[in-house]
Amino acid sequence: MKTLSAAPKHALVAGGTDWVVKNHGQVGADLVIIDLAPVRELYGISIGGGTLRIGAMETMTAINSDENVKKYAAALCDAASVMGSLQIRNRATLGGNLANASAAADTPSTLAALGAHVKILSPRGERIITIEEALGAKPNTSALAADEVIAAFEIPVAEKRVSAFKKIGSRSEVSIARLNMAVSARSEGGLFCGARVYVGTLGSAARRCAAAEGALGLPAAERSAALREALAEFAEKSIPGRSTLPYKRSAIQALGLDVLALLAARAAGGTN
Amino acid sequence: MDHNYKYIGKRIPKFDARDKVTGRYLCLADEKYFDCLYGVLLLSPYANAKVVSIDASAALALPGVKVLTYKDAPDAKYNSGEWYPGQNDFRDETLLTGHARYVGDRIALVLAASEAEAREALKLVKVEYEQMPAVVDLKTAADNAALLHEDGMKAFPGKLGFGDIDAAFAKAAYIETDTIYTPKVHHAAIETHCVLALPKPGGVIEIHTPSQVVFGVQHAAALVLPLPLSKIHVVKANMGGTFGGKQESCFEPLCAWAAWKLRRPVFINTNREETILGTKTRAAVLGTVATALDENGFILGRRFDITLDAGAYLTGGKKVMMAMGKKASRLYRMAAMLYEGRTVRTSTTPCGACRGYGSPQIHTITEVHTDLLCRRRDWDPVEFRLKNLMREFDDDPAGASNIGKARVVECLERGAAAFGWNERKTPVTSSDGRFVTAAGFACCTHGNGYYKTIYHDYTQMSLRILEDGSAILRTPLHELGSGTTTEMAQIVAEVTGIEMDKITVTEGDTFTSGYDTGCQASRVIYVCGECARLAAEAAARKLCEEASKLYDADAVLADGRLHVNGKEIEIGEAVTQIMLQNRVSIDVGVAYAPEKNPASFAVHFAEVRIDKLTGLVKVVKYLAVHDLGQAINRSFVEGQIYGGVQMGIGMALLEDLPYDKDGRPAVRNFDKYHMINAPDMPEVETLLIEDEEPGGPFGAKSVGEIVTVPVAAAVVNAVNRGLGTSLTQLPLTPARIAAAAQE
Repeated sequence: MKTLSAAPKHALVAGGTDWVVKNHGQVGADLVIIDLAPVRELYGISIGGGTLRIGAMETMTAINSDENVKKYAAALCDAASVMGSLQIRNRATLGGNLANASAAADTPSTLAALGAHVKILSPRGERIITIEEALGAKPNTSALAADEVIAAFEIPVAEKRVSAFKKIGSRSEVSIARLNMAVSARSEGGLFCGARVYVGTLGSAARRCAAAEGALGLPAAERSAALREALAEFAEKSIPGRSTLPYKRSAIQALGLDVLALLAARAAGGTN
Repeated sequence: MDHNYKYIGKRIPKFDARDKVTGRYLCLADEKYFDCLYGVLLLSPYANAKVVSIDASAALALPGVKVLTYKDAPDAKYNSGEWYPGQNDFRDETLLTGHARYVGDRIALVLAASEAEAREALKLVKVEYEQMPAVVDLKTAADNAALLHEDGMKAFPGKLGFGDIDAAFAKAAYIETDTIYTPKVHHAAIETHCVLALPKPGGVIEIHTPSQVVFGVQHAAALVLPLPLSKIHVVKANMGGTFGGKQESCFEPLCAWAAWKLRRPVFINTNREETILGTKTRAAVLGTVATALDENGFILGRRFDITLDAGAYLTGGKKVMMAMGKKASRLYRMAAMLYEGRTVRTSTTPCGACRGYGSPQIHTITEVHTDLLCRRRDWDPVEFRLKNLMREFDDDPAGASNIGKARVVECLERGAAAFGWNERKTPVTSSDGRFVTAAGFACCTHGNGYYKTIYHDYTQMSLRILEDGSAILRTPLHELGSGTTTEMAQIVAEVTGIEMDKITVTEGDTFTSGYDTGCQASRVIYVCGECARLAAEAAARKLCEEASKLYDADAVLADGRLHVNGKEIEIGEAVTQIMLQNRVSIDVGVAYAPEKNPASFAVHFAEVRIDKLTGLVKVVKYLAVHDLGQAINRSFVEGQIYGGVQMGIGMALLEDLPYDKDGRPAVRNFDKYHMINAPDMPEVETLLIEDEEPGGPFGAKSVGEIVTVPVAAAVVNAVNRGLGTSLTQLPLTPARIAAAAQE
């Protein structure tokens, strides 16, 4: 924190998979680059007190191979296993993915669907906010101040809560999302209650779709059609007039169906 | 055919395979050069703009920095697609320019003691531009040509054909027409473009480049330097892939001139964005084909109207357009054809050679059209093709070389059976209606060199057998990564019996190797491979003659040994004695100009799974059937096929370099330029028809380019068959497919 206060012009670098590419050859002599890798407090995946805690510096590979994440936040496992390539996943961190705030990022929508909170440290102390609060008002920006560091994510865990994430890119792997979607819900008597549905890439890294949440609460026979309708309408509202709208309007329905299928399989199989 | 070959047709690893996988195969950019200036390019950010002012003072203030701008450079024009003097292509390109004609055009070269310092200096060069309207629309490019070029050329038209086309169309029972667009594509070799030039004593400039045609680079450099060809020493460097991207000159003339002017070694390096924007592309083509048919489904004639996008400079654009036309008469029989084309210039990255040299474009156009016409006429696409395909030893009615021992009918018949076409030809839709599984196929042909074209085809090699029984084949060839040098060694080994690991094959060098037309036009195996075989035979003959003299008895070479009077003598021992006593080196030179240019053929079958909602297409099953005469190295042939299929699926579904109305490229790097990667590649099955083409070494003919020729059409045909659509604008992006599926 002392370093942060002292360096007037600085960049915080976590895994660097976005930052290095963006800043290659652009770094001025006056920039202080602060590598977060040695900060031990930013690591760790643990469970306790009804919360899954994931340190901001945990990599996608560490996350997608963690048993507790698999059990209590399967959607995050999904997202962390399809992000970038294996080499990227070995370096890219959960905190970096949120701080970079790309509208096409894979984990912010997932964390939002899981109801995660972000613990942020700065020379002024600590604050805890939601994913949506951490994302900036404009696409591709975060709401973090220059001297703020993401320390950890806290995901509430609950029995019977299931989650799933899927994305659509140009390829099945090593692909940037054209659309992604994360859902978490309580599986009760064949219904998905209290659903949280977040879509990435529609102008923001995590945009909530209330109508889709409603659709998920319907009986299985009505669910798919209602979900498709809700998502199509959501696409239209999110990016009106955009040239990509006709495609996204179609693709988001497919994505909804695929996420729902994965969610239903998990509910049936008993994993969260 | 069973020949009991020891080396031909075998799976022998590449000479450099071990070095490549252990990181010991160094490309130019992997090395450091003594007293070298490292050059980076100042490329135009605008599609059509005149430089009003250029201020390099801040850059020049840095230690060791030099800046060469268009004001310093000669204004001699050249055509980077020419590969020999006397070719006389239209010349419209200069080393550097004050009139930028595309985003990526060369304004200046910034040099420093390291690439990093050069890149820092580059940022300090201030250029003020006056922007002018961009020319991006293919259809209006000819009318707007004056916006881009002052040479008064609107377009570069070309025409070829045969027979009475009007009569063919007049008596047609049916006339079917389609218009198809094939995209501008990046070669995506793993090694980005770079070149090293060194001033040498005696006024020589030595150019090291990962080129496909060292003599073409020598010619291009001679057009801009006040030096005779004999002072331009071009050496083929190790290469990290090309796919045609390194066939034409890119930065070689500029680098040679900079080294000559500054009297210092100069190394120009580019990153991926600079290679994508500033080198060459596959040419985009908009083509209309009309087929006149009789009532029984025989083709009477075809008319083509082709517009090819050369990008900002003509380069090889006219030649690619004409090469397309020359392929059009060699796949199906027809009495008349009229091919009318024009190459236009637009304010986009120049086109150039790209694997297939127009063949993927023309066959995509004709084969997508052929499937669509069959559907409209309710004809079976296999039967239709079998009825119309060329037969063996047919003459090319357009006057080019006889097509040779064509096995395209066998490719289609055996391929259809092996693929299970009859079982797969009816699309299957999933119960929810979202997914469709469908199959498609396409036929194609490609050449084997330049014989009976307007370009010469000639090569020269020498082979020396050394005192220890090893051999050096000195060639003017270029190892592109496809295994050329290993295959040449296989040919020498098969003829002489000398073991593979005792044979070295050298590459092109304009000072020390004989002349060669270049590693292009699918001529390397058929033409150069035959030259290697002839050289090996000549060396073996000479060895036997000299040994017969030496031992005063008939000497016969068999199994890698000399047999004299019932005794076996090691080759090395004989050569040593021949040199000492006969005062002769077993060293033969062979020049070879082919007298044939047959056709290679292929038929590819693809099965795809289409998601109608996401528009994503996955190729799930693939069969490539090739009429290639004889595989020299089975593993290399398969490798070529896998790679060709990967490129072709990309052309069908993903790869494109689009521009907005102001000529701004939407794609500059691999973040937006997506190719099919390993997880999305189907298992590619191969079926090789090896029936020995006359004139090729051991009956071999070309395969390295044709492997990517039918792929896009096969995939597009599968999608159109599955969805009942008539998609003809490539690539079939998810958005285009999803929109069409919902109509």
